[in-house]
Amino acid sequence: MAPPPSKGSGGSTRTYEIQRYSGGRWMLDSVADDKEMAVAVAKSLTSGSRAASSVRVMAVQQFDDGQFSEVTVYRSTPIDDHNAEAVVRKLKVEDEVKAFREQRDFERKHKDDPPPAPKPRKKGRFADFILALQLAFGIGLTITAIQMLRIVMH
Amino acid sequence: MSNPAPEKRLVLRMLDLWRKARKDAPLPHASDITVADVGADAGHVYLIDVLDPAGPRYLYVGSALQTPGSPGSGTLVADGSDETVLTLTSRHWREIVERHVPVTRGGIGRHAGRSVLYRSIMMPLADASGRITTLMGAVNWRALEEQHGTAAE
Repeated sequence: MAPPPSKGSGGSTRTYEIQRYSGGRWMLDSVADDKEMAVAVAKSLTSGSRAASSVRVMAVQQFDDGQFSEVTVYRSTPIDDHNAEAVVRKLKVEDEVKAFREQRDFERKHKDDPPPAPKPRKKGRFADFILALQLAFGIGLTITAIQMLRIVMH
Repeated sequence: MSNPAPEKRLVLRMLDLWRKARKDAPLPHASDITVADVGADAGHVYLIDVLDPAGPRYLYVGSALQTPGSPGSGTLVADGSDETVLTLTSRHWREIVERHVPVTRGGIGRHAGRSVLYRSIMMPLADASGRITTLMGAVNWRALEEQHGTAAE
């Protein structure tokens, strides 16, 4: 449950009018004395089978001398939704452009640099083992060939 | 497809009921919403007849609102005690009749001898001619911790 509403200062009362756009004008839908509740009511108007396309909450300050002032504290219209989506899209495009520019600048900066030297191959134990095996096989083959030659010579 | 989660706030549940009953009319007909339609919230609901010659009179008071000292069905709104959330919230009946829209109010008050934080709504119901005949109200509350003053050390 929301806390009690704050009263306006200087001998005034504040209410929140929930309004929906219908028939080309704003219609009063309901009244609340608490901003949080008023916004919740306004949001509930935009859902359901009979949802209003546009709603707003006006804070109305009524002074003891009969004067009053009002200010919009919440608004939801298709244009607002469209603008919000457009802002998100714009930010996304800006991020993509920034990333592209950074990549392009990096490539331009390092365009004249000599190509990086190939990294020396790391020889592991397996490579050493294969090399030793090849040497042993080569030596064995050579010895065998010499023995065969000696037999033939005799 | 799963059903949407039920609204937790009594005020919004009541407002949703009122809007559905209204359909395309400015106000719902008094016979379009009954206490039976409110379901489990009926104990927190009250009805006021604003056309009674003696003044606005409670037509129905939910069981949760019936505490010792609180007005019951048939009692004039003006005769209610300030020590109940029923009277605290229903005393603003005139605003709903003048503005023709539901009004929600909240605040701190006394109920059943305790300080409570309450939230309420009153909604207008009309007859066939569009004249407001009845107000349907609903209120819930929770007890506030009593503040005991202690001397600063």
